[in-house]
Amino acid sequence: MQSYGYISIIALFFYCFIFLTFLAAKKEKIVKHFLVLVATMICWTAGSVFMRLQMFPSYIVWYHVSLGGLLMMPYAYFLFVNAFGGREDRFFNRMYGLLLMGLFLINIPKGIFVRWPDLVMRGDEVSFEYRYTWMVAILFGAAAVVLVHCFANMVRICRKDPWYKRQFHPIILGIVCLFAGNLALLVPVFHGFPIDLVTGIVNALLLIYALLRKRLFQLKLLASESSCYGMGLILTFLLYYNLLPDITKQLSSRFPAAEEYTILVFAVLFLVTFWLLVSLWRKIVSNLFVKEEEQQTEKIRKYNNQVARSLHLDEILAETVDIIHETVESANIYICIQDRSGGDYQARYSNQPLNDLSFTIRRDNPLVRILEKCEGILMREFRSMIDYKAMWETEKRNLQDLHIEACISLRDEGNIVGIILLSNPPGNRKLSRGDMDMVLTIASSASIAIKNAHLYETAYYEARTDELTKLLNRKYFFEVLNEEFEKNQEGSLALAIINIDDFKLYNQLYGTQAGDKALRRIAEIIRSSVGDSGYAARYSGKEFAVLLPRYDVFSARNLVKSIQKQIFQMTDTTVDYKLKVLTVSVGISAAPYAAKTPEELLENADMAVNHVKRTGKNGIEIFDTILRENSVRDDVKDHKNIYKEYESTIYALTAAIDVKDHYTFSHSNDVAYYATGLARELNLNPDVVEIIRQAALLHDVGKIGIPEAILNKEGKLTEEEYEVIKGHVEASIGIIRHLPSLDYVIPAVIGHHERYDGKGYPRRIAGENIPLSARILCIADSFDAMTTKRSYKDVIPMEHALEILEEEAGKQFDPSLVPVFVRGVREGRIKMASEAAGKR
Amino acid sequence: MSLSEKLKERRYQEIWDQYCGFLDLSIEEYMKIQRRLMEEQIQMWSNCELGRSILKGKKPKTIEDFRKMVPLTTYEDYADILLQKRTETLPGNPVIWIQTTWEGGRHPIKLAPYTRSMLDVYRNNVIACLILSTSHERGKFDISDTDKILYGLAPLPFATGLFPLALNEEIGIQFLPAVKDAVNMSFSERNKVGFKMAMQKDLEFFFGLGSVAYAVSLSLASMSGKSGISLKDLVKYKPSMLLRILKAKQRCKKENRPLKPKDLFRLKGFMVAGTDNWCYKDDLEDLWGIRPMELFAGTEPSISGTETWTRNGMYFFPDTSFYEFIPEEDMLKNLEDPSFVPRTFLMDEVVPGEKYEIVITLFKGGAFARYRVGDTYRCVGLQNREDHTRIPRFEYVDRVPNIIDIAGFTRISENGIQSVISLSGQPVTHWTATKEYNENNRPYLHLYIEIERNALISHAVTAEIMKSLLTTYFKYIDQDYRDLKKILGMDPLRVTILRCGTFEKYREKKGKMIGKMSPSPYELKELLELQRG
Repeated sequence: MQSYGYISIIALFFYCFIFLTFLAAKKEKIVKHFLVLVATMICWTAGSVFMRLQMFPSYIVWYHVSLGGLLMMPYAYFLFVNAFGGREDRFFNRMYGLLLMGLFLINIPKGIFVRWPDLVMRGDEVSFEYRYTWMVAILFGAAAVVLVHCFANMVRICRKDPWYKRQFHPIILGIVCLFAGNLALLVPVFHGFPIDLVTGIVNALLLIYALLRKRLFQLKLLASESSCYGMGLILTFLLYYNLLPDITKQLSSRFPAAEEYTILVFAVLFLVTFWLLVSLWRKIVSNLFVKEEEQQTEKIRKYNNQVARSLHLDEILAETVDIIHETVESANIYICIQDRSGGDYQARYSNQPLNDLSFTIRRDNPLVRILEKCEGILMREFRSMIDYKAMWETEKRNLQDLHIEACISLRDEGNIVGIILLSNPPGNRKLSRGDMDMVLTIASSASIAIKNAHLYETAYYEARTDELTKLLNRKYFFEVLNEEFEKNQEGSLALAIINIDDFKLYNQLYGTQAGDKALRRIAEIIRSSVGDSGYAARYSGKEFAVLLPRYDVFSARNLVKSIQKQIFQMTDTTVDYKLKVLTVSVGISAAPYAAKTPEELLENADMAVNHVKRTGKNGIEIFDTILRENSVRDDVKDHKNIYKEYESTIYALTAAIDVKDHYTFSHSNDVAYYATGLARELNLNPDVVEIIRQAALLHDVGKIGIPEAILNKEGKLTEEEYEVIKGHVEASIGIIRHLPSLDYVIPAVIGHHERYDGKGYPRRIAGENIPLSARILCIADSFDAMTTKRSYKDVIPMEHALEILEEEAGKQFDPSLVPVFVRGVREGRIKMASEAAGKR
Repeated sequence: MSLSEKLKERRYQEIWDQYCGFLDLSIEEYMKIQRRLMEEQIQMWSNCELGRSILKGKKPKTIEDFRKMVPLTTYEDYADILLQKRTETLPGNPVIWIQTTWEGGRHPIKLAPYTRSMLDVYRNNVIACLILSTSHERGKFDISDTDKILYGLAPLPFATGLFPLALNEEIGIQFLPAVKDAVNMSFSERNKVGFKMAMQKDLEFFFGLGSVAYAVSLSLASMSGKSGISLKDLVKYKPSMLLRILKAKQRCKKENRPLKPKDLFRLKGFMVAGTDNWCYKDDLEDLWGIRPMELFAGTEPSISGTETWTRNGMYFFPDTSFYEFIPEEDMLKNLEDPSFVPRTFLMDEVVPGEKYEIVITLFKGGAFARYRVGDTYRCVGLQNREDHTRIPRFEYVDRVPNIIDIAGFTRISENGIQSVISLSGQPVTHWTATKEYNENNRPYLHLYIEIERNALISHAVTAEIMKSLLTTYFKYIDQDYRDLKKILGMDPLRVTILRCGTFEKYREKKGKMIGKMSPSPYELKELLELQRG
């Protein structure tokens, strides 16, 4: 009985300690359920102790209290575990409560399931004799069911989020101990020894351990420091009140000499215990009742785990925004990410799906400079800084419109790779420095994750995407083709290959820049038309492939027709003249109708394209020609002879020049001669040669508008006069643009005074960006100007003129064209214009 | 301050004024809002590339200029820019692109850009609808942050997907199922899960297309009819719901009728959108015990009008778009002769009883100007004694005659029918199509066709065969038509073969062919009568 007394008092003491500690916490659901759990333990232990002490009113009452506590404990565990894991088991929560309580109540009057023990007095010794029947199994069976269910829930919770696993360890261990202790009661070795209470103490210790590791749950403290002393005092008092007789007895029996100091010893012990208790309590309070920041630290730890595992930028951004929203409670959070080239910061993600993400923070924004220095800044601080003065009004307004109150940088080794923008939380709360620190912590781990994801996505994107058109590249397209072919064995799969007609000519006419632009536009049209129903890829330089799963020939043709029409109607609004119309030749093939392997599908589509190319271009051909489609053909005339038709117009215009200024007329004819000569030397397509000839004839048509006095002035021109002369290029365009049928010569005309080094006029473009036709015209024009006599200058001999051309190659002239021209002249294939005219 | 916070502080009057205050406007005040916002929009729209491409060098200064200089537009005028999402050419910066099918268009879908300001207006008007759906008189409504809504509409990128997002910016209403889960579910899955959750947690709102709401409601009845709630699921039920389910079942058993949603739920608000709602409203009221409130929304016009507690006519929101109305007479004339330029009237010029085609110019940086949405409305009054409004009130009539809309689900164009007929390869020489309603008030497409005389020997052409053939091809070219059958379980086609030569006879008699799309009932009657002669 002695050991029993100590042990049960100590166990009771521990439970009370925990109970009182938690009474001070804010009553959240989890706390309430934990209190219920501890309360059942208290009932169990206290009942047991008081029963043995046969306290008032009777041992039977205390027996029931103890049994009630024991019975309800699994249920309390069940509630607590569910609350801890955030599970909603409303039904079982109630049902088990009713069940166990019901069984308990039924048992009270007659002890149907387990009867109270008989009190046996053997001398001084009091013992209890229990008599069990099989009915006891019902009572404890029910409790076991609840316990098993509780374990099952724990497993489920842990499986859903492994984070819980570690948190549950001490609790599980505690429960195991507790029930092992109860089972051990049946082992004869422990007869008379309260092993169940010992394990109860172990359980309580485990619970306290879990709390101390501050892993179990986080609480908001309601009690003050002084209440902690008060509680320590009460507990110590209770403890010693109960232990006093025993301690006195022990003291007097073991140290009879110390009997007179009993009170002193007692007081010292009391004080030491009090001191220990208070410091334990404090430790628990400081560990357990974590402040909000620490609660947040826990969340951040979880967040870190999550983002470290992901390589998807959007997923990481979503997690980041979520954690910031949870910890700082900002109403609006934006994350801007630096674009791939390391330039401006484009808004990429926000916590509100409908927030405007179209804004950009420029790299040179003073805010970025500040962030380089200080990682994060509150707008109200920023506004009072000198750098704020450099903010543009639009930049200020932008941030104000978004209600931004704080900016935090995402860094990668000193470089700012992204910016987090935060608004104030809803209500009247304002972002504080503390909030900033919190976000900075988040930002530091987000930076790494974002950087990795960004790298990964860039690599992923680049490996699959064509740089110019942003469609799939050829390599990845083959992968997709094989995959989709496999997937659509049962269904159908259509493939269209779209080849741009005469694209080389287009490049030669307008320069590669315009060519690239056209490719991008066409890619855009294809992409927007195909949408989610298939894949679009750049198949080769001027060829696109469109793969359409579940499409048959009919639907594929309809889609391609729409694409063809859009390309045909495509206009470039950024230049002020009309470009040559681009047409496409399309081949379509579809499985299973005409192909059994991906290779065959591709081959067939290729063959169909070739067929269109051979039979006049600009059409849609379906392999295994059941359907032949040349719908748009009516809209364009046969381009073979298209350029010959405008001869009369050109003649009329040159005649007009002749009347006004005979020199310009003959100069234009000469330039036409030299330019076509050079074009032929370059083996250009006859169409291009013809376009260059016409452009040459018209290149100075604008001079009609220049006063003769300036045109034929002897001596040096004034600056103003020179400006007037320079204006003839635009004047020429002004005239030609009114002849829509002739606008194809505009690029050559507008560019013939551009210099290869970019110092020409009017557009100051350089190198290959100057259309080929204009570069040819430039050489022809200069050569003729040098080798003919003008009022203000003498003839330069041919050989000298050629030398000047060679000198200026790479400066004024295209260095790859000059040698061709010079060779042509020197080898006599291009004669002097006067000579050639005589022959003509 | 968000709506949630205002609700918490019980600032009901302020909420009502903010969202539903437009109902108190006089027509002059209403037009003042229209005109001022229009001026802002003219500025933005005329100065962007999209606007310039339509204005062709003209520069409108006033609203009158604008109406003169900007022609009436259709999606075709915007397709090149919008389908390629060329944002730099638009009057406002789009935050989101909303998608819909393009009936008879050259591309399968239409895209419409929404600016942030448009979304703000949209959000406020959506809340207005939510409030009005619960109100029984001016200033009285019943919404709370914890309400739950069953949402029978498609998620993003369709316009209906904006609804939950916009709403949740202001109020914590819970969608069943949650939006983030719903996007990955099929339509029927969504309904099933949504309803299951509603059974467990109760339900305060329901919003859907009229036809879909009806289909969903019926499936609810059949789902709840199945007696089994598994023990495992039992836990998830609110006890009060369990009790209600038990009671409802008992009552239905006693009254010997199937279970209806109204037995389980006491809706605070019930909203429907789309066409043909009138055919479903009575049935829906019977099923849910509350009359649905109709609101008008679309991909291009966003949300533009709502009914009130009177459930008698819709009011257009003054801040969504600038409304113009083409009178029916001009609309029909324009259908016959596309070169005819129809007149348009403004909101303060409409006449009660007259039917109009609506033309909108979106405010707040929207792309569409003088845009023919393709819907017709009838003005039912300029003032209302019942709810004391002083602005015109409309009822939705239908789509414009050249589009046949079945149950708000699919829009069938002349091109569509023509290609279905040619795909079917059947020797149809003439046809005309119209929407009719069956004995249960359900809409269907009625196709009157004439078969080539000589082909009758070589082809098997019963109405039954034609119907099944044409249905097959309708499903082939039109995803929505497929869904009509799948989701609503309806078969919306009826084919009548007319006596050979009837169409020709009609032409001889009237001097012109009968219109292919939605001829008037009189014309149709005449055509049918000619068969006899």
